[in-house]
Amino acid sequence: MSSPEYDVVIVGSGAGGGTIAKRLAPLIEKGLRVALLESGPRYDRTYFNQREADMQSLFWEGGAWLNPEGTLQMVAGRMLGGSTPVYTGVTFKLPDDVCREWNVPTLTVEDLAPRFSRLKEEVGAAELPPERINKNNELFAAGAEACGMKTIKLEINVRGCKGYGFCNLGCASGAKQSTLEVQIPSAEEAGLEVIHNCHVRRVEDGRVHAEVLRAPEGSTPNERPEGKISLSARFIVVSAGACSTPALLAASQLPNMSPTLGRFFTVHPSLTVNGTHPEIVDSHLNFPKAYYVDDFSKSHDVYLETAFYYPGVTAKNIDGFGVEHLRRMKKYRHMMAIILLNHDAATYENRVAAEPGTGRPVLEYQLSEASIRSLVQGQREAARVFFAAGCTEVYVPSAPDGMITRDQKDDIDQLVTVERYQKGRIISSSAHPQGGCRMGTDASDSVCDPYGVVHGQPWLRVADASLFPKSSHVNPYLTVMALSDRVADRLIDDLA
Amino acid sequence: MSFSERQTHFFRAFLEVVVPEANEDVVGVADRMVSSKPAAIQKKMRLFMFVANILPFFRFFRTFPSLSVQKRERFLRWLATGPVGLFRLGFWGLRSVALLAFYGDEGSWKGLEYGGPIVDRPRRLDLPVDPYDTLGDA
Ligand SMILES: Cc1cc2nc3c(=O)[nH]c(=O)nc-3n(C[C@H](O)[C@H](O)[C@H](O)COP(=O)(O)OP(=O)(O)OC[C@H]3O[C@@H](n4cnc5c(N)ncnc54)[C@H](O)[C@@H]3O)c2cc1C
Ligand code: SF4
Repeated sequence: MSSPEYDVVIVGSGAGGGTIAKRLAPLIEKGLRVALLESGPRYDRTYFNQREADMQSLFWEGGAWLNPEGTLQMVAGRMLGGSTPVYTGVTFKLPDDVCREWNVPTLTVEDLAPRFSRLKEEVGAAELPPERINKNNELFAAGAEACGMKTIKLEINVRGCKGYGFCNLGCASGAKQSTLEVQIPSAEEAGLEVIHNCHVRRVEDGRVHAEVLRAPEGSTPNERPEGKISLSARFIVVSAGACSTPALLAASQLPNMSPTLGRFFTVHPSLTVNGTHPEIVDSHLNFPKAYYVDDFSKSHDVYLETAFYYPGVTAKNIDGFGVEHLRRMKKYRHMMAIILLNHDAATYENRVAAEPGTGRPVLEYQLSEASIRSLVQGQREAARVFFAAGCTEVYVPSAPDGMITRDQKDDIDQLVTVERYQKGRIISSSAHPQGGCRMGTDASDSVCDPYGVVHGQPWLRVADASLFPKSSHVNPYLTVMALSDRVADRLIDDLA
Repeated sequence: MSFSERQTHFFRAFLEVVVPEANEDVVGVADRMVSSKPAAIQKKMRLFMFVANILPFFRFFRTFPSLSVQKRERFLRWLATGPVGLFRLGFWGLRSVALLAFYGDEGSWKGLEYGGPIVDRPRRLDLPVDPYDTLGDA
C-alpha cells in the first residue's frame, strides 16, 4: 500500500477531468502535485483498428449500458480521455435561453462566452471544409430544405481530419481533438501524473481509495502494480461522468449529502433512423456529420442531426429479423442516416443510484411519454426528409414493420404513431448523460454550488456533465468543458 | 467461453432464424460479446436463453432447436411483439448481440460491399476488466 501526497487528485479523464488537468498545468509546472486517475485503459491512436466488434471494449458495458426498464442503452467511453476519444466532435455552445433557464447564480451567458471562445480555439472547432462533407450530409441538406426546414452547419473539432469516418470507434489518425490528444498530453508535459486502469471506489476527506486493474493487451502497461491503492490529497475533483460520479459519491457515504444526489438525470434519448437512396451514399465515409435542424426543438423537444453507423449498429437500429431484415441490410451502402435527439425533462424520479455492495452505477431512468412523443415526431420529420431527398424506403421503428415505402409517403403521420413505440422492442440510445450532481445554491435541491464545490464538503469538487441542472438541449461536451473551467477557477483560488 | 453447450445449441438455432446468413464464426464473436457484459447481464441473457429454449415444449412438445425453422420463426415473432415485456426485452437484446456479431465482423462485409477498416491494424480481442465484477465490496 502506497500513500503519496497530492495537492489535487482528479478522478476521471474525459471532457471534465481533462479540462481540469489542463488548467492546472501551469501550477503543476511550478510544483503543484496532481494525479489523474482513470478507470479505463490507456490506448493510443494506433490501438483503434476501426473494427466494430473489437472496439466494443472501448465502452462501459460493451457500449450497451441498459437501464433496468430496458428502454435505453447508454454509450459512454471507458479509457484515458473518457468519452472524448469516441465522440464525434460536434461542438455547441450552451444556448443562451437554456443558460437562462438553468438559472444558476453567476453562470451567465456573459460568463460563459469567453470560455467557449477559448475552449473552441483550443480544440480547433470550426465548420468542415466542403471536401469533408459526404453524400449523406448533402442529401440531408437538400431533403430538409425541400421540406421547408432550415439546415444549419455543425462545428466540428478536428485538426487535419483524414476523413476515415470511424470517429465513434476512436480516431485512428489523432485528428479529432479529444482530451486524449489535447488536454492530457499538455498537462503531462507540465508534470501531471496519470494512473490508468485505476478504478476509484470511494472518496473521503483527504483520501481516495482505488484499485489498479490489469492492462488489456495492446494498451499501455501499468506503471503501478495491480491491487489496492490509497492516495492522500488536499482536494479531490470527481470527473467520472454523469453515469458514474453520482454513484461514486453515493458509494462513498459522505455525511450530509443532498437528497438530490443522483437525481435529475437526463440523457437526450435518441434514435438513429435510415432511408435507402437509389444511389450509393456511404454515410460512414468521410466526415460523418455536418448539418442539423432545430426547427422542432421548441415545438417537440427534438433535434435532427445527420448521422452514420457501421453495419453492426445499423443492423441493430433497423427493425425486424430474418430474410426481410437481410434484404434491408443489403442496401447498407445506399443508406442515409439521421439521428433524433430528444431534450428530455429533468425529473426527480430519474436518477443514478449505486448498487449496494459493489457501488456499480444503476441508471434508473424511465423513458417518459413526452420523450416517446418527441421521438415519434422526430421519426416523422426524418421520414419526410428522406423521401424529399429521394429515398425509396424509410426505416423508422414506430412504423408498421419498421418501414415506410415511397408510395406511403403521404401517410407518414398515420403510419408512425406513439402506439407503435413498443417499449422493449424499440430501445433508444444515449451518448449524453447529464445531471445527478446538479449545481445550485441550496443543499436541499442541489449537490454542488455554482463552481462545483459539493455542499458541505469544501475538499470535494465535481467537474463533469453531472453538474448540469437540466438538459443542455444540445450536444454537451463544450458545456462540460466550460463548467469545468469555472470549477478550475475556484479550485485555483482555493489552492492559493 | 461464456456459452454452455446447450446455450450454444440454442444460439445456433436462434441465429438460423434471425440472421440466416450467419456462419459458425458468429457464434464465437457473440460469445465474446456476451462475455464482455457485466455478470448480472450475462445471467439475464442466460436465463432468457433457458426460458426460450424450453417454452416451445408446452405448445409443440419440442425444445426450440428441434422445431422447424418456420415454427421457430413464429415462436420468435410471438416473443418479439407479444405482451410479455421481459420476453420482448430478452428477444431484442439477444437479437442485438446476433446482429452486432454478424455485421460487426468481417464475415458479412463482402455481402454488403462494405470495405471495412481503412487502416491496417492488428485485431484487439483482449477484453478489459469490469471493475465492479472483479472487486469485492466498496
Ligand atoms: C459515441 C459518442 C459520441 C459523442 N459525440 C459527441 C459530440 O459529437 N458532441 C458532444 O458535444 N458530445 C458528444 N458526446 C458526449 C461527450 O463525449 C460527453 O458529453 C463528455 O465527454 C462528457 O464528459 P464527462 O467528463 O462528463 O465524462 P466522460 O468524458 O465520459 O469521462 C468520464 C471518465 O471517468 C472515468 N470513470 C468513471 N468512473 C470512474 C471511477 N470510479 N474511477 C476512475 N475513473 C472513472 C470513465 O472511465 C471516463 O473515462 C459523445 C459521446 C459518445 C459516447
Ligand atoms: S473522420 Fe476525421 S476525425 Fe473522424 S476518425 Fe476519421 S480522421 Fe478522425
